Amino acid sequence: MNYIYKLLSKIIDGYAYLRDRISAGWSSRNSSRIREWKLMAYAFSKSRIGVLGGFIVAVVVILAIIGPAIAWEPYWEYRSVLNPELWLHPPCLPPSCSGLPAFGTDEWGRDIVAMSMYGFRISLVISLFVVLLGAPLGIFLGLLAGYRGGWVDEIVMRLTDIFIAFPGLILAIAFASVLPKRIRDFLEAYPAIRDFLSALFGLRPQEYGQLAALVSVWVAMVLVWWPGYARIVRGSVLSVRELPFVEAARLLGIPESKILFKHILPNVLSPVIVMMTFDLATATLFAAALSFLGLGPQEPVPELGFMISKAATYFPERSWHVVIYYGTILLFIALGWNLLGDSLRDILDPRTRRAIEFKGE
Amino acid sequence: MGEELTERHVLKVSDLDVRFYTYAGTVHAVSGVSFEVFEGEVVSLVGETGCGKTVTTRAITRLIDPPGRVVSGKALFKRRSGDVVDLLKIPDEELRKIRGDEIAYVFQDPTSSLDPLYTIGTHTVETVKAHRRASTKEILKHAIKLLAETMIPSPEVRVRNYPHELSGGMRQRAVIAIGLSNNPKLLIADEPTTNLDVTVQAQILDLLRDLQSRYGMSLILITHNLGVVAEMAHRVYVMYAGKVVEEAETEVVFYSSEHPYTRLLLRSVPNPTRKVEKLENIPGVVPSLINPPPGCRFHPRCPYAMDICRTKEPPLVEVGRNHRVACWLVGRR
Amino acid sequence: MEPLIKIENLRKYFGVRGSFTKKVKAVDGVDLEIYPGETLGVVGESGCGKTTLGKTVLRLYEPTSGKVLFEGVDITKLRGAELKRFRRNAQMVFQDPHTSLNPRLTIAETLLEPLREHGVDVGNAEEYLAKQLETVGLGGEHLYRYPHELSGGQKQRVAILRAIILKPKFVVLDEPTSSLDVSVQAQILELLKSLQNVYNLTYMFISHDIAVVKYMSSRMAVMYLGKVVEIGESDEVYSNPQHPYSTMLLSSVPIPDPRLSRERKRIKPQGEPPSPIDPPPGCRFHPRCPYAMDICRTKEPPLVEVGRNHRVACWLHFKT
Repeated sequence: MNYIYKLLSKIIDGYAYLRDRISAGWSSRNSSRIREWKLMAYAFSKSRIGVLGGFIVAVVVILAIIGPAIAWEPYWEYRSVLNPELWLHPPCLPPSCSGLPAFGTDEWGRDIVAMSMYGFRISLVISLFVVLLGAPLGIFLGLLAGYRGGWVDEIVMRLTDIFIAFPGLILAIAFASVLPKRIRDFLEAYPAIRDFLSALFGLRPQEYGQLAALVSVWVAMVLVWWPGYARIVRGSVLSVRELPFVEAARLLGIPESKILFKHILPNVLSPVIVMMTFDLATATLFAAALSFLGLGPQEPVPELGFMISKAATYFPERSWHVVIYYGTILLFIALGWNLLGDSLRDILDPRTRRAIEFKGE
Repeated sequence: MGEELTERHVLKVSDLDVRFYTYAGTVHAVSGVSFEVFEGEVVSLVGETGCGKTVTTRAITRLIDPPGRVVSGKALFKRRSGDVVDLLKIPDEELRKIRGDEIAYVFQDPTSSLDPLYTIGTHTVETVKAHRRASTKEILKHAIKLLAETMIPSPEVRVRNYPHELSGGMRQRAVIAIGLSNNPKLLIADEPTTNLDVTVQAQILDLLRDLQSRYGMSLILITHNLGVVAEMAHRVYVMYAGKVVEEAETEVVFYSSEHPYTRLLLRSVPNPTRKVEKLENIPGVVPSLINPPPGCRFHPRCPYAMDICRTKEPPLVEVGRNHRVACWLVGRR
Repeated sequence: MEPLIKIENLRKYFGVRGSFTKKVKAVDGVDLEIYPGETLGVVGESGCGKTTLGKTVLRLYEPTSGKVLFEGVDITKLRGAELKRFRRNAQMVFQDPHTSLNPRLTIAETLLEPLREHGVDVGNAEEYLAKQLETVGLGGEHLYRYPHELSGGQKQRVAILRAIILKPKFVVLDEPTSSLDVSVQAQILELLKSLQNVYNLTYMFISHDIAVVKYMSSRMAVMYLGKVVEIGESDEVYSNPQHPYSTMLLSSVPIPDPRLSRERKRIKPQGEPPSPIDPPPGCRFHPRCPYAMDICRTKEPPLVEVGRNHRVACWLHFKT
């Protein structure tokens, strides 16, 4: 596990070197910060679940990035039309079957492993979008509610209560019936956006209809996702705003907006980052669930949840390999983020990370 | 020092060494500390933050958690039965029997010593039942008696109260009462009055003194407040940077101390009975215990530091009756 | 001499959660004058309102009623740019150095913030700050460190520097050494005294540690349950307290001298400091006072002179 620390340490040093080239003396001015980073790297390297989680996440992210490029079968070809043998072919290993995909094929006769290359990208993009949009919204509202108190707090918190209580599923269903048409028209009108989003999800621009469904799922999710952040940020803000250094800033005449972003926000961010990491797991699964229910993209888009849903019709006799394979992938993605989040929690808290026992290294 | 405990000994700690293994390095929190407590006396461990006074008392009852470890030392304790045990070596089960029963703790913050979900009565019942067979009714009666002795008004009402219903001073008194519920031989009070108002502090200190003499209990009082030491202690151990630098009877420490740190410390505390005074300053800061300075740990701040102080650690030498100092100024005589 | 600060009938009440009418009367009618260049000590136990007084005088809390005149101007009515200008002149040092500095900012960033906010041109910031750090006994090497890398005493020095970096006239010191070690306390007190001389500062020194207050202050005010019960020169108040509460308070202070400690006669404190939610009628101290008379239970005593510059609020000393 030491190698990980050494590697991370080298990366940090490299970064410091680059910053030094940009503005001289950067590393001496930030020597304390660099030391904290290295301490975090050390704490991470000592955490078995962190390393495991990090490894899984790294694999998932790498596959997500290069997936669509290395996929050896295009997702839009209905192979089993030409070759009926390929329809839901079970897994087999050479030498008994040569030329057939080792893990089996789906209804369309496509290699399920090749399809999962697209699937990684879609799941990662959608979960990232949901968290990276929902979190800031929730954080902002939480900051406001916690710092201002009074009726601002009441309004924001009641709003939060309403949205938390609201079943995301119903919202997604409602959106799925209304939005996709509108979004599709929008994408038709703005081909640049259509192309950009398609590339992002690793799809062909022709599938912009399915893209619209993806986007509507995403919008529904963002609306349901922000309240959790608002709540935990508000809670943290309530305690941070009583701290003397916030009073000192008020006393110095620092305006409220600066206090919120410079003094309060950085001190409530750690639990938020941990929550975001866990949320990436949850969002991945939630998006897959929505697709499973048919609210997301349809064929030929190989979204993980959707693939499982299609296979359900023939489960278990003919499609067990599809369900197990895609299910396991989802499991791994979620597991990776969860393990990472767990160890991040300890790393980001300055007290726990300094208390880590140093076994005579 | 001999290995035997005399008649009047209650506790004898020898060569205690406690270290914390952290990312930044190994912290030598306590290095070779020895002290003893006799029956019926009040012993004070005095020092500033980082001197090791709290770690020492927690170490002897094995309350040190990783990354800390008791590296070496003995803590001989004479139990009620007369048996002498080494607290650092006895099995966990036996230690558990002693803690709360024969050795009681009072910590600095009464709020965190009390579980907010349980009443004072429940706390007492729990403490007693862990060590003895007795009916809840009996224990509650005993608890009310103790609360009354700790000068809590309307104890029969208070015993049913939750901690948040009591003021800070009452909470600390309740903690003391709970600590006394098993009539311990030794009470360890770690800064018991630091968070309390001055008038409440005076009441608690009076109370401790009174209970101590009435129950024949020994008291280890940890504090950084020299006024409290002057009022309460029979004997004083002055600690600095994980070591004992001076030990003597209270009056000797205040009027004829020999260690430069003790003397500077006494002169840096404002004494309101003096009309005009200039506070003495101890330059520098308490050293980091990750790499303690070589030789005498006080030498970087000592106005009398000599060459030998920078290289060799002074041993504790006897300079008078019950008066020991660890300083080369004295050790050379 | 005109006072720098004149506090007139200042009150600060806090609402109690769950009740519309109950109020915590933290400061309940305080009149004080603070003269330029002096240190006024304020002592009392928890609930007496001394910290609230300090914060209300600085308008960190909005006063419920009353006036605070700073150089003749009622600062309770100021707004906007004028309020900001007042802020440059009146600052505070907080008790706990571990939480009074933002742990995410370096020392340099913490010190630069007030300078930037008030548009002070410092030229080369690094050089300027390094020199400023020297005035409080630190050095340039501390500029880019984070608070957690500094000791308690060092952090408090930074906090002090932050308070005086705008060159204010008045500084409220709220228990500035209570969280520090004894030896460090002496250093900080010396620092505060020398800074007062060099920069001509006026201090309000709040503390529960009477020995420290007496050491630092020329005049001392004793507060109880939101009101000033005694005020006078420090030596006089300590050696000759007139109010029964002051007597009780002062005799409870432990003296670092075993013989004197034994010889001293202690007035046994009765009862506990009550809560400021429902102060007793009449003189607030009467339930605990060994000399309480009928009038004490019904009418509040005013502050009257009992000696040179020595005032007490007690019916025992009220001479018509």
